Amino acid sequence: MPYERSVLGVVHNVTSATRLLDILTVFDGDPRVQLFFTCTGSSPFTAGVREFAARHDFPLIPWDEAKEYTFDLAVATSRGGGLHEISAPLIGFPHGAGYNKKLSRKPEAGSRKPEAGSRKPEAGSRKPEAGSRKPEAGSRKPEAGSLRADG
Amino acid sequence: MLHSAIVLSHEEQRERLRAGCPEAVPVAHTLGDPCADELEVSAPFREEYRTALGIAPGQKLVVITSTWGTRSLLAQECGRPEIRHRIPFALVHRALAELPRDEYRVLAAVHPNAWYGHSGRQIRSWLAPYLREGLLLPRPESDTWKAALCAADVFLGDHGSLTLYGVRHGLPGVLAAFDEDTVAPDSPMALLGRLLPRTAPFVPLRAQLEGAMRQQPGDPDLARAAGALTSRPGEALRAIRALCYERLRLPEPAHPVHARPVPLPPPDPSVRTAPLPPPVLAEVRPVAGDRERVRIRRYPASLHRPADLEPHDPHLVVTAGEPGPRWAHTAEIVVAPRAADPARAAAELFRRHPGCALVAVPDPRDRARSTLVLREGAGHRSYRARWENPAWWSDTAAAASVLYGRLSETEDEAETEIQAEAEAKAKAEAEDAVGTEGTGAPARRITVGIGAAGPGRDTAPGSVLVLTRVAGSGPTEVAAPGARPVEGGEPAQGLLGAEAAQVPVEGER
Repeated sequence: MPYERSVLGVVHNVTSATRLLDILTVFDGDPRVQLFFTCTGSSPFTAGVREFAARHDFPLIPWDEAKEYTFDLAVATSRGGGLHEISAPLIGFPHGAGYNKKLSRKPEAGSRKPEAGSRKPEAGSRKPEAGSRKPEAGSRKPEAGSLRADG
Repeated sequence: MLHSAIVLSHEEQRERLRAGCPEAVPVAHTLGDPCADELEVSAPFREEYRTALGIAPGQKLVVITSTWGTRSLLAQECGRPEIRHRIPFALVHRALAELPRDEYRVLAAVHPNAWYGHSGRQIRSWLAPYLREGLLLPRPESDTWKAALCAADVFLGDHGSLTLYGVRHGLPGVLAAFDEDTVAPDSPMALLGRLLPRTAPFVPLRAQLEGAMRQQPGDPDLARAAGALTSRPGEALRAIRALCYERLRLPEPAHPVHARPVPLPPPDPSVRTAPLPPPVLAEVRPVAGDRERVRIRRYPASLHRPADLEPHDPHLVVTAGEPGPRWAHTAEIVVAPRAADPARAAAELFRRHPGCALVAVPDPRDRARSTLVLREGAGHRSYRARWENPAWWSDTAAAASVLYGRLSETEDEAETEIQAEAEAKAKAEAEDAVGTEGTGAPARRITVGIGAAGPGRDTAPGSVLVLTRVAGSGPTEVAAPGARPVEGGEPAQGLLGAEAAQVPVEGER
C-alpha cells in the first residue's frame, strides 16, 4: 500500500515501547502514514523488546539499517542510544508520569536521560542479555518493502 | 539541536528544563499526559474492570506498584527482631499474609524493567508462594495496570510513575519504598514523597491501608500534587496529533481524536488453579459483644509466622487431601469432599486427621448447605448448616469456622449454650409427646460478616448462617427453644423475619 509519510518509533526498552504505542495511536486510521520501529539497543533493559514487538505485531528494523534511511518523523519516549544518528525530525516524549528523576550528569543537548546510563539493573547476578539477546539478532526486515530511503 | 520537539506533560516542567537544559526550552511543547487522560475516561467503568479482574463486590483491591532497581518496593525485605531470617518481597508478603483474604485482593504491578531484566518466569517463580494465595500478577506490558488502578481501592507504592497515576486517579496510598536519591527534589514525585504516609513495620498493614482510605480522600495537598501530572487534562492525544502532523506537513485526519477507556483485561493465561484451596487460619469474633453476629477473617496459613501481627486467635482449616503434613496434621477443621453420607465421610476423616475437631461435609447438590460433624469423645455431634444469602466467601469452610468459633468461646458462654441445648431437648421431647415430628427445629441464626465492625463503620452485606442440630446419628432432630416445626426441615419463616441480614463491617465504600 503506498503511503505518503514514514514515521519511525524508536524503542529503548519495553517501558518506553508501551508508552510509544499509546502515543502512536494518533496515526490510527490514516493510510497516508506508515509506521516503522527500531530499537536502539542502548538501554540496559532491551530484554523483552523482541517479545513485545512480536506480541504487538510490529517488526523491528535493525538499528544500523534504520540509520541508513530517512524518515519523515521519529518519535522516542526515552533518551540516549544515539538518537542523533536517525535522519528525521525527532519528537521526544516522557516515558513515565512527566519528569521526576534527577539528571545524573550534564545532559546532552535536549536530552534528559531518565535511564541514567550509570545505573545498573538490580539483578546483580544476572545482567540483562545485552549481546546475547539483542532485538536485532535475526530480526525480520520490515515487510513494507517499499521503504523509501529518499524520504 | 538533536530534538525537533521535546514534549512536556505539565507547564511546570518548563522551568525545570530551563534550569537543567536551557537550549531545549525553545522546542519544548506542553501537550499533557495521554495516560492520565486514559485513566480519567476509564474511571466510570470501575465495576467493569473489577469484574474482569475477578474482584468480588465489596472486596477491596490493593494494587502494589513497584518500579525497578534495588530501591524499588519489590526489592524491599522485611524482618523483625524475633524472626531470624529476612523475608524477601516484604510488602507482597505482608499484603498477602496480613490482609484477610475474603476482604482484600492484592495485585502487583511490576515495572517492565524488573520483569524483563529477570524474566517473567523468574518473577513468577519468586512470587510463587503469593500467586498460590491469590496474588494477581499481570504482565507489565499489558494495559492491565491501568485497569487495576481503575479497579483499586488503595495502593502501596514507591517512587515509580504508578504512584503518581494512582494519586492522580484519586486512590489513597502508602509508600513502601522511596528513593530520594534519584527523585528530582522539585518534581511532583518528590512532593508525593513528602505527602504520602510510609509503611510502618510494626503496625498491622490493614490498619495502615484503612487509615489511608479514611484520611486521604479529599486531601487538598494530594490533589494539588496530582494536578502536576498534566496541565492539559483531556487534551493530550489531540495536542500530540496536531504536533505530529505539523511536523509531517500533512493535514490532520478529519476524525476527532480523544482518549478512550482502557480495554478490559483479558483472562491471564499464566494463572494456575489448584484443585483444592490452600490452608487458612480463620478467626471468628462476635461483633460488638453480640453473639448472634460474628465476623470471620481468614488468612493464608502458608504465609503465617508466629510473629505476625494478625490474626490473634486463629484456627486452622484445611481441605481433605491437603498435601502439606504440617497442615494436615494440625488442622482443627477439615473440609471433606462433597459426600452423600456425611457421617461416614466424617468418620473416615477423623481417623485420618487425629487432631481434627470438626469435619465439614458440603452438600452434593447445594453449595449453600453442608453438614458439620464435631468430634465428641468417641462419637460425633452433627449440625446442618445453611447459608441463607450466600456471598462469595460464605462457603462450607466458613460455616465450619463459625460453628467452631462459637464452640471455642469462653466457658461462661459455653455453659449458656449447654443450658440452651438442655432446654431444646426438653422442648423436643414435649413436641414429640404431642406428636409433632421434629422435621426441622433447633435453628441458630448467626449473621456473619467479613469486616470488622465498630461505631461509625459502613456496612456491607452479611450472610445469615442457619445451624440446625442433628440428633445423634439418627434422623430425629432435637428442637431448640422457640423453634417450631416447618416443612422441608427448615426453621419457620416467622423465626427468621426479625433478623437483619446485615452486619456492620468497616471500611467498605
